[in-house]
Amino acid sequence: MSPLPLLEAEGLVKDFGYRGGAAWRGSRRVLRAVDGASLTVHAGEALGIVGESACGKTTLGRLLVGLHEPDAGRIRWQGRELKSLPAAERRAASRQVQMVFQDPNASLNPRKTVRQILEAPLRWHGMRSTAQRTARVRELLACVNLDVEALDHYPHQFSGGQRQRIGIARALVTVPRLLVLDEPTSALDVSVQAQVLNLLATLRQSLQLALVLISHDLGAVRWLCDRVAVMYLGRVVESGAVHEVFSRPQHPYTRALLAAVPSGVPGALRQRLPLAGELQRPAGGCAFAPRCPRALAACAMDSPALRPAGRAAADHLAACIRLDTLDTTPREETP
Amino acid sequence: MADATRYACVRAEGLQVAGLSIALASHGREALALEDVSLDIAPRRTLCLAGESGSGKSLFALALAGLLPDVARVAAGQAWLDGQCLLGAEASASRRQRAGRDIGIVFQEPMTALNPVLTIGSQLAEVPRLHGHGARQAHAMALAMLERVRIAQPRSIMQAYPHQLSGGQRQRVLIAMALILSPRLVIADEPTTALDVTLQAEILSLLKALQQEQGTALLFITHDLAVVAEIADHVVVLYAGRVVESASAAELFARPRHPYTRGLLAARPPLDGGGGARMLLAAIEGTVPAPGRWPRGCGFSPRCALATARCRAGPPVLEARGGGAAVHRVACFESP
Repeated sequence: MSPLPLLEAEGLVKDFGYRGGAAWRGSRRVLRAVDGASLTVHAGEALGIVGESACGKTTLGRLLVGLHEPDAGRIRWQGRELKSLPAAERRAASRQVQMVFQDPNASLNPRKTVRQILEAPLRWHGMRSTAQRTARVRELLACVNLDVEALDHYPHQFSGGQRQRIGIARALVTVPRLLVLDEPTSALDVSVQAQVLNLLATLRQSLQLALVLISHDLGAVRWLCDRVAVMYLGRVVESGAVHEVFSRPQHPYTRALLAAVPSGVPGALRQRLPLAGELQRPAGGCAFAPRCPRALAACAMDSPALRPAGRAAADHLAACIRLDTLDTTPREETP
Repeated sequence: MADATRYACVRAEGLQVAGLSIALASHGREALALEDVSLDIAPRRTLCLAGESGSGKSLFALALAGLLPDVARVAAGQAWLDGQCLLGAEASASRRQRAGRDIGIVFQEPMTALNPVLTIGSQLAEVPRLHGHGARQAHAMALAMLERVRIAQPRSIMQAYPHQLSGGQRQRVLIAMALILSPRLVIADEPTTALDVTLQAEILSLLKALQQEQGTALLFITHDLAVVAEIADHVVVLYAGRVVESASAAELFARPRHPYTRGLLAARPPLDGGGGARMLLAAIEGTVPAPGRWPRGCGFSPRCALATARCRAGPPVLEARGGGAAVHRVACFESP
C-alpha cells in the first residue's frame, strides 16, 4: 500500500432540488443526498459502502467517478485535487476511475452490439486504430469469461449475469485503477451472483484494481472487501477494517444493521434487534438519533464527527457521542 | 375430465394442490412454465416456495388466486381450499367469489400494487364492500385492520394517498388489505424483497403474528433462502418449473440433498470470516434457463457437476429419501 492514497474524498455534499407537495403548487425544496461524507481508497484496496436505500450510497459512488459534481467538498486523485487539474489531465484521471451500474438491463444500450459498447470508451479516450481497439476488446472479453462470438451480439441476447460481465468489461476497457460498483449483483439471479463476485475478486487480483463496492449485501461486502464504510442519511457513521467493524460494531446503527441480517438458521423468526421507525431526517444533531435506542438529549444538539472507536485498530472510526459507554466486547457471530 | 376423477374428493383443512401444471403461450406455441407441482399447507402453517426468477413460483400463486394472465392457463391438476375446488370447471362462479374472500395476496411491489389516485382508506374499505359489507362497516373494518398491522396514526393514514407513505407503511397497508376478510390462505409473493433489511424483520414477524391470530395457512414465495430458513415450516424448492426438493425447513437446512439447493447454500458469502476474498465462493456455473428452453431431462443438469447421461435423457421424479420420521423428497438421480 503506497502512502499516498489513490482517491480521497473529503466532506462531500450533494443536494438535489425537487418540488415538494402537490406537483402543480409545490415549493422548491432541497434534498441533501450526501451530507459531508469523507472516505479514502488506497491502491489495490477494496472498500465496501453499506447502508439502507436512500442513505446516499449511490450518489456518493457517482460523485467519486465524476457523474455528479459535488456541491461542496474535495476529491483528490493521487494527492491532486481533480477540480484544479487542467482538462487533459482531468480526462486522464477520469479514465482511471470507472463505474459498474446496478442494472445491466438499463445500463447497456439495447441498439448497440457488444463491440460498439466496449469500443465507445476507447474512441472517447482517443484510441484511433481499429486493430488496437479490436485487440483490446477481445482481451477484455477473455478477462470476463465471455466468448469472442459475443462481440457481434446485442445485450438482449445475453442472460443477466452475462450482461453484468459486459458492464464490467466496459468499465475495464480504459485500464482503470479504481472500479466503483453500484450493487453489481442485486439485479441478478441468486444462483448467478456468486459467479460475478468471484469474477470481481479474480479481476482485483490480476489487474491490481482498487474497488469501491456499494451494496446492501453485508455478506458480499464482508467477503470481498478489506475496509467498510457504513452510511446513514448521507454521512459515514462508521468505518474501519471489515472484520473489525463487523465483529465489533461501535455505532448503534451498524449494530442494528448487522442484527437485521436474516440468520439463515431454521426455526422461529430470530429476535432481531428492534429499530424503531423508518428513515427520517431530524432538524439537527445526529441523523440517527430519532431511531436510536441509546439516544440522549445531547444527541439532538450536534452532529457527531468520526473519531477513533476501536481499542485494537487505529483506523476504526465511528460518529457517536456515546462510544465510551458502549461495550466493546465482540458481538456474537452469526453461524 | 380425467383430473376430476383422479382427485375426486378432498376433505381436509387448509390448501391442497395436486399435480398443477401451467402452460404459457408465446409466439403461437405453448410451453409448460410449471410442471406437476403438488403441495399442501395446514392452517397456521407456513410453506415457502423458493425459486429464482422464471422458476414459475409467481404463476403458481396467480393460478391459485384465479389471476392468471391471458397467455397462461392451467394445463393439469387441481387445488382445494378447505375442501373446495379452486381451479377449472369444478370451481363454480360462486366458489370463485368465495375464493376472493378466502385467499389474500400480498404482492412484492407496494408502490405498484396500490392505486395512486385513491386514499388508503377507500382502497382498503373497497375489499369488504365488494364482499357485501356496508360502507360504514367497511370503513370501520379498514380502520381496525390498520391498527392490527401496527401502523402509527391509522386515522390519518386512512386519508393519505400511497405516495405519502413510506415503503414500510405501504407494505403494512398491503398486508392489511390481504387479511381484512380473515382469509383461510394468505399468499405472500416476495413481500420483503423491496424493503430494507431493518424493516424486513418487522414485516415478517407482523405477517407471522397475524397468521397465528387468524389461523391462516401461509404460502410464502421468495428467492431468499435466508428468509426461508427463518419463517418456513416446510420448504418446496422450484427450479425451471419443477419441484426439485421438498422437506421441512429444519430437515432441508440440516441435510440439503438436491445439487441445486446445496449449490445455493454453498454459494452464499459467509457473514463471518476474513474479508478480502481469500477464497473464491463455490459458485454454480451457467445460467437459469428461460421458460420454453428447458432441457429435456433434469432442468438443472446443464449446470450440475453430478449430471450424467441419464439426467439429460429424462427428468427424475420426486421421491422420498432418507429414513426416519422427516419426509424429505428429492428429484435427483445422483443425490444421496
